[in-house]
Amino acid sequence: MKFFTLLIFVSISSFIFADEAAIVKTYKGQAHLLREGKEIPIEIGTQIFEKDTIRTEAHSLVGLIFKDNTRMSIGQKSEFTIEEYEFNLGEKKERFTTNLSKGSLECVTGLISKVNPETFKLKTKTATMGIRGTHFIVESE
Amino acid sequence: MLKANKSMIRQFILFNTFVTLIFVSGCSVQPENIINSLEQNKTLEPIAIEITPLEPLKPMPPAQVHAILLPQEDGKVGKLLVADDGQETMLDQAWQGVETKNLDDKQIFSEDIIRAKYRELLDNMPKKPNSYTLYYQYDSIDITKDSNDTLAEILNDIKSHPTFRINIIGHTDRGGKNIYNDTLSMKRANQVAQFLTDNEIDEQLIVLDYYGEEQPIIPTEDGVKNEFNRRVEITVK
Repeated sequence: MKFFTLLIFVSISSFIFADEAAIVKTYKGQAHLLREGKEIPIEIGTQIFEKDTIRTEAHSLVGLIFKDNTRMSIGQKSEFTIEEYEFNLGEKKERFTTNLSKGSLECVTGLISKVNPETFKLKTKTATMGIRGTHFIVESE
Repeated sequence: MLKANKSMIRQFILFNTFVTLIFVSGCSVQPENIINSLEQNKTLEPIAIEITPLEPLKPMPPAQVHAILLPQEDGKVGKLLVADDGQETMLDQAWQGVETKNLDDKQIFSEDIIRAKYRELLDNMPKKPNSYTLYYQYDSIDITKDSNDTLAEILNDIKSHPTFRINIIGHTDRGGKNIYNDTLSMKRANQVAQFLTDNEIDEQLIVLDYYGEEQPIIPTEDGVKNEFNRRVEITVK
């Protein structure tokens, strides 16, 4: 039995127990990911973490799927930062604060909006959006 | 539909000039103007417009934010709370929108117009990921007979579409001890991951979580066995 348990732990270690917030699922044109002051190229499948900023150029769009299945489409000439993201139902700690400092965004909310809607906050230049199980567009000009 | 007349054409031209300004100066645009112009666009012949740069607007108007609530895929409509400068308003109807300079003025927009204006944005939205649930025998990492078909379906789904992430979450029912169930849920999740990698699925795609008895589908008293709570949830993204 001990051997069996050990085996499980060894084999499990190769899978990711990740803090990843989202992955890039759709991508068009020229966009950049800013992480700790560095520019990282974006491609489909790129992992997105808390504190990352996505900046899209003209005619560039990025689509994200978050860990909690929230989906976002980021429009052209946008700047979008994931300020806080934590989704771990076991620890009952959810945080979802994002900031669209310019541009446009469509959002279909996921599990966080069901289990803990108060934690979802989308900030813009002036306004803040909160949600209750929602699909919406925000445009900041 | 609106009938075009001279004043409307003039308005349309003015609007286009204004849009160019926005383009350059990054200041605000009013959605009703966009809506009007889109509506007029449908009825007007294309017009050649010469853009004359205007004096920059002084002072710059405050940044505008537009929010529009859309129906969900199941047809239900959620709620969007828009707060700005100490004021707030709740959007709760499909295609209802508001801009921050006037939170009292909520409007219902035409679906066609919003779809046209935000076509690129909407087309870019990733599709809803497919989610599956496998069910288990009590105190076991063996799935039920019915779940064998689901497992085959999951593998087929992953192999037939470009897949970039597979989330696997293990659960148990509330029979047995809490700590034991944590381990059991981890073993269940791991066994599914192992099955996928044994079937040539790249392990880099897989993210594992396990919640033990903490997240039942059907809430029960502690110590209660429940076939719907003994499960592994798989989401293919």
